[in-house]
Amino acid sequence: MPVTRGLDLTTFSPPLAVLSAGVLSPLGRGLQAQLPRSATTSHATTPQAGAGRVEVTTDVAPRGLFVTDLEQQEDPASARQRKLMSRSARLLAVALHDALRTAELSPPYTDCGAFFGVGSSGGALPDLTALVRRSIDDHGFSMKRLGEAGLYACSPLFSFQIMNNFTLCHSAIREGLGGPSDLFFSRGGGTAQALQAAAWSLQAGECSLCIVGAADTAHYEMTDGELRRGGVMNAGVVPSEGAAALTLTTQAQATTLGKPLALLTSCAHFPCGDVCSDLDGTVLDAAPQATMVALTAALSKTPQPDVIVCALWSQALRTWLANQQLTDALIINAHDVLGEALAATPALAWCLALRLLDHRQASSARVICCGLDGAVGVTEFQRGST
Amino acid sequence: MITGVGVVCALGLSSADFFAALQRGASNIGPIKHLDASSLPVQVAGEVPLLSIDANTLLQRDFAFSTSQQDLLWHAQDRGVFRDRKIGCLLLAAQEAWQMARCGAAEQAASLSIALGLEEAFLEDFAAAMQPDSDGGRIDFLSPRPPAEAGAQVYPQPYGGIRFRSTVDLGARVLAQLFALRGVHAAQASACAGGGLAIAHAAAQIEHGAAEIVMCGGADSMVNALGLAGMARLGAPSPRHTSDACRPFDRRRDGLVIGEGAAVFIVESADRASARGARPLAHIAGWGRSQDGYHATAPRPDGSAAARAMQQALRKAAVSPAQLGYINAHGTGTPLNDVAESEAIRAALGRAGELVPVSSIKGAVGHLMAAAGALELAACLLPFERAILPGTAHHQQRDPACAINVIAETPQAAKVDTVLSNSFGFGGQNVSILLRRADA
Repeated sequence: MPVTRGLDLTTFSPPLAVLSAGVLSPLGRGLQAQLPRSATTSHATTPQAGAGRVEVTTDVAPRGLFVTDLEQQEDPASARQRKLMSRSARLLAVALHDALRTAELSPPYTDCGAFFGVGSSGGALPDLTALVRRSIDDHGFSMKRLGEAGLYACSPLFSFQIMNNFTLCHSAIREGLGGPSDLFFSRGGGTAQALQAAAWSLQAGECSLCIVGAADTAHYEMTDGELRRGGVMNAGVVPSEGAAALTLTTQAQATTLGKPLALLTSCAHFPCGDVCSDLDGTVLDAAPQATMVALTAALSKTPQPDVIVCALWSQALRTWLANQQLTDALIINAHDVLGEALAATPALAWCLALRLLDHRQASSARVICCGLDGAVGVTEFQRGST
Repeated sequence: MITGVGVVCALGLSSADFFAALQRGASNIGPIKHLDASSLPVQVAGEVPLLSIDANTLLQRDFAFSTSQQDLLWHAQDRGVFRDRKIGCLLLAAQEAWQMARCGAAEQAASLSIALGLEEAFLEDFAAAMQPDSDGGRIDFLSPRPPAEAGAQVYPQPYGGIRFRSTVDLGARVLAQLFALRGVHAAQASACAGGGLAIAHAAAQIEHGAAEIVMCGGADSMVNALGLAGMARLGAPSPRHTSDACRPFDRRRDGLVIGEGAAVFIVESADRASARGARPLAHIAGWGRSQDGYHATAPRPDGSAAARAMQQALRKAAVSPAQLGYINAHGTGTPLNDVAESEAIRAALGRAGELVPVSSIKGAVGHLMAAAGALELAACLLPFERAILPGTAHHQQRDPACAINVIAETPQAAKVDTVLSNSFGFGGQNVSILLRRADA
């Protein structure tokens, strides 16, 4: 299914203000930690005209990338709340809390909207295993045994872990968020849609403040199994996880809240058709033509930014990217430092771009993501000013 | 503008069946038939009247599927897509909406905004992949096939395709492929508010010029092993195994009944609908969204957050409380929801909140979870199509704690110009959508 329209970004005029970011990724907690080693070094080569510089690091661990110290993090959730939460929900609780805190906003957040990309459910496997084990009779799974025994083998709280919307709702309850909300299932593309929906909500005056982002983990055993059985890992995915949340507001509102971290100038989401994978998740084409057409448009769009952060799920797409000469911008390959965190990947890449804007004193950054759903998301930021 | 609607639920397999059943005050809650729920605490549901819903079901309907569409349906069947009942429901409803709106090649530019609830977990797959170990067992998620000793003949489902669970967006992917939709695809994951939010997102896309036409709605079925078990553990369903188990706003109410099905709409800009001569069914005039930010399962008791969603919808549509002709309530039949929603209606509308007719169709079809908001918005077309306000099945005894004007079991004849549909989700997501009569 070819892309049938050009790179038609939704441009925000005036731009929206990014007040703060909360992030928990394999690079660490907080925006300051989101700096790949490669981005701290000076360039040994002078870039050729028309050739984007693709920086590649070797930060990737063999089995994937992890948020290794979640248990040690100062966690806004109580012990009881944590029992209700999937790992994605716990990651988001930290990121969302940090986003509100670093924006120096005070509760109540009655007027604060929340728009997020979320991934698959992630109920505790010991509960699920116990439920299944006690639902087996001599012939295998038995509905009768489920009702008699299996049902009672798992915690009643298990249900909260398997509801995808609770990735956000635990945080919304904890922080008292009261504005509009919407959650998009995402393997990349949905997170770009969450950002667009948040921007529309602000523009329409539905709320004066919005939190937007995503949380997900590719390490949940069931998800990991799906990815491996489908051949996704063989296509070059390094499984990862994380959560990121940006607080957004209008520029007019931002003037009363301090200097924004950055400005969100445009975003877009381009479906490229279901050409990446079959319905059961089996990889069919790791670099489909329609995706490369959209990526080409996204890379070459003018005016060019100073930095482009690319998060492309497959090795084939990353190899294709490395061979392109479409832009003079510095290109950061986000996958090499963040891995593939499914729904969370675009939001983690936004934070990487925001960090690079500051670190390199750059004036503009573009984030280009292509996740397992084959959709291409494009987001543009400028350095903050009021 | 809404220019097409398709419905699959316990009351029938088309919008015409659905409207006719609502008009006569029918209800179809009964013992679960497509699986053995006799040992579960939940034994009744609003079940779609089909034991299985697959490619055969779709191809036997009076739909004009092309050869390539038929091939896709068989491919989906081979991959095990229809193990997840909500996907068959979704495709049936979508096909009806597509045909009703007289969509063709030009409409394939449509975006997609669909709420699809949770993944369906296939517990027989988990059992087949259970590996004994010193801790009592673990599930091997990697094996391409179940272990031989599990006895493949016991598990007749295809193991080569979708295993353990269907992904949340699977239905959206099949739908987009079936209709060759080229627009943006969104799969909402907002639980019981998902259907309403998917439709609000569709309207927002059109309002902001991101799309001219959107296929939107919701599909869900938790009438499956883990769905029934999970809801039972939450304690939300009524403990009674009777056809009147769900009694919204009734003094004796004691819980919800799980339903299943789908409702799909074709929504397009008024200019586009007019230019191609599509018959408008209603105008999505406003919507409002909010979060309770209060509790995982209990609604905010004063209904203040839900009231904000209703007020936003009214404000956006420039409709005063006194002008509102009907509210289709979320009305789950749980003790807490119905009181909180009554408070919310009164808070949002003031004095008009005690007068405007309110009903819930969940007593008749059950709670369709992610599809509830979509099906209930379809019910909101009944006043425009047939000048009838749906009744509230099994509502017989008024509850003083629900001080609103509930339409009891008998549908009410009325010509109204504006209607409001409420959807509130576990976790506290709220959405209200306001429809205006197309010719108003």
